[in-house]
Amino acid sequence: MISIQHLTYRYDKKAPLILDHINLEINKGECVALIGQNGSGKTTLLKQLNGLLKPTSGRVTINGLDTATTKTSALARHIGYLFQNPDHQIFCNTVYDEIRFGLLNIQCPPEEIHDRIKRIAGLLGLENKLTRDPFTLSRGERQRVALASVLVLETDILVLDEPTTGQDYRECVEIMEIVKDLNRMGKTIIMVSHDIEVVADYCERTIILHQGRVLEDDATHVVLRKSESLMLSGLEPPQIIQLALRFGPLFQHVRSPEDMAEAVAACAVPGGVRV
Amino acid sequence: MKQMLEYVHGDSVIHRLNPLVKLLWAFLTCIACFISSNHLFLLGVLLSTVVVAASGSVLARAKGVYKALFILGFLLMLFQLLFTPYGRVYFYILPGVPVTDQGLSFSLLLMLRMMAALSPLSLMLMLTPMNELLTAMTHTLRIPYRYAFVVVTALRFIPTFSREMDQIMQAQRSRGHETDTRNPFKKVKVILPMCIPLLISSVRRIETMAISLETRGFNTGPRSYRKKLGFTRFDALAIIIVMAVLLLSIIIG
Repeated sequence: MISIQHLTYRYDKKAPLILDHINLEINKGECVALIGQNGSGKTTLLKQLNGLLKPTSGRVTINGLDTATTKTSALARHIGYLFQNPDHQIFCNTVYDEIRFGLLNIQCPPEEIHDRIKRIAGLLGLENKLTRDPFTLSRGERQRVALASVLVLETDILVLDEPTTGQDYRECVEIMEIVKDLNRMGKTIIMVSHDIEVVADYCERTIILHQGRVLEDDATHVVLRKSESLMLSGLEPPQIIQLALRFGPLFQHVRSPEDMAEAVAACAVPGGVRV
Repeated sequence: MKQMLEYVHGDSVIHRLNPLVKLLWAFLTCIACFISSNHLFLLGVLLSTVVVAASGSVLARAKGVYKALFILGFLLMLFQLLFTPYGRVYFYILPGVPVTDQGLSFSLLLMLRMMAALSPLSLMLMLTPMNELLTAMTHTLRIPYRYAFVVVTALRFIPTFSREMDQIMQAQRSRGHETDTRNPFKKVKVILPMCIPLLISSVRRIETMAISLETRGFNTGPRSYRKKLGFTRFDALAIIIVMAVLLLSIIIG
């Protein structure tokens, strides 16, 4: 599906390596979080996936297409990309036109267009905003317009660069639930996030990038227990896992508050809890 | 574009010149190029800018500038060549469109003039830190700070906007918009609508910046300056050279 082999990248000949011998395989239907400090190369790696940046050496293939030789606009049929800043993307007069723009680019049949826009707008709570000028919307709403215009293309792979920035907690959960639903429908998701709780709740696999290298690449619950690696990235394990780590080996499997409650109950002895 | 106007950090003789001297150089060289209609003189000026770029060790960057100016100049030359019907006819490029000796000479002059007149401006920006330029303009030239600030900020934002435009183009390409076409006419058609996000985000940014300047006490009274600008023997020498070039342009004509 996505295959990255010995990928290195630098912006120009004398510049330092931004990506340093990265090897990754991401299979269909995975939901992968990419975390790391600012400047660790996350966005650069994402931009390699749809050919916005071309490898300095190594190979990136998407559904068998080599990104070095395929135009980004052609890769857009396979891979949807949400930018960090929605304002880089929005330029149409109405939300409706904005969502439609990509569909026209990929030559979607006209009779399908309206339905697809309606469906995605409903999914993201934008159905009342379709005639509005996107620039008059709030930051959170603009983020969702940008997301809608990417999701509407119904690509197999979705690359999301911090999809929940500028959202309040409820909006954040809503967006992630949509992303999760898409994942259940078989879409491959790769997302950058600084929100460790979002990563813990929604992604099965987590990759930590540090100074252009893959520092950790494993199941999320495994990676989130590696305090040192997280620390290098300026992150901490989610609170529930921090607590579980302090309690020791009996709490190894704890990933959620429910697990914690069960584990605590299992330690119950007459007159108290024994850890 | 972004590389042509951005300051390149360094410690060369040129870097250490008083910013006013560099400003003077850019300005007077430009004037000299318009005064003179001598091919050799213009070529000499152009070569002298290459020397300046080399001694400021920005030659690699400057290459881009020369290339862009050359392309622009070449187009200008081509038009001039086709629309100058007088003089001795060499041959006809199209029926009724002659290529003449005067046309060739004049169009070559135009190209050289454009390259020689504009490259110093770009080199000056590459070799002078913005804040020094600002200090020079307000302190020595007595330009009111707010106006000097406008000029310097406008220059400072060109690379930022250019980078932002890159991002916008990338965002559209990711949605299947074919901005990576090589056909120049197609490209213009494709790029024009992309200017809207740039415009809107710049206006937003500028509004925020204006407020942020106010909150930090912009333009409330006299300011202090971090660095005193000196005037050395090299500055004097540079001024003499620049003046000599100007004089030469007047003499040669």
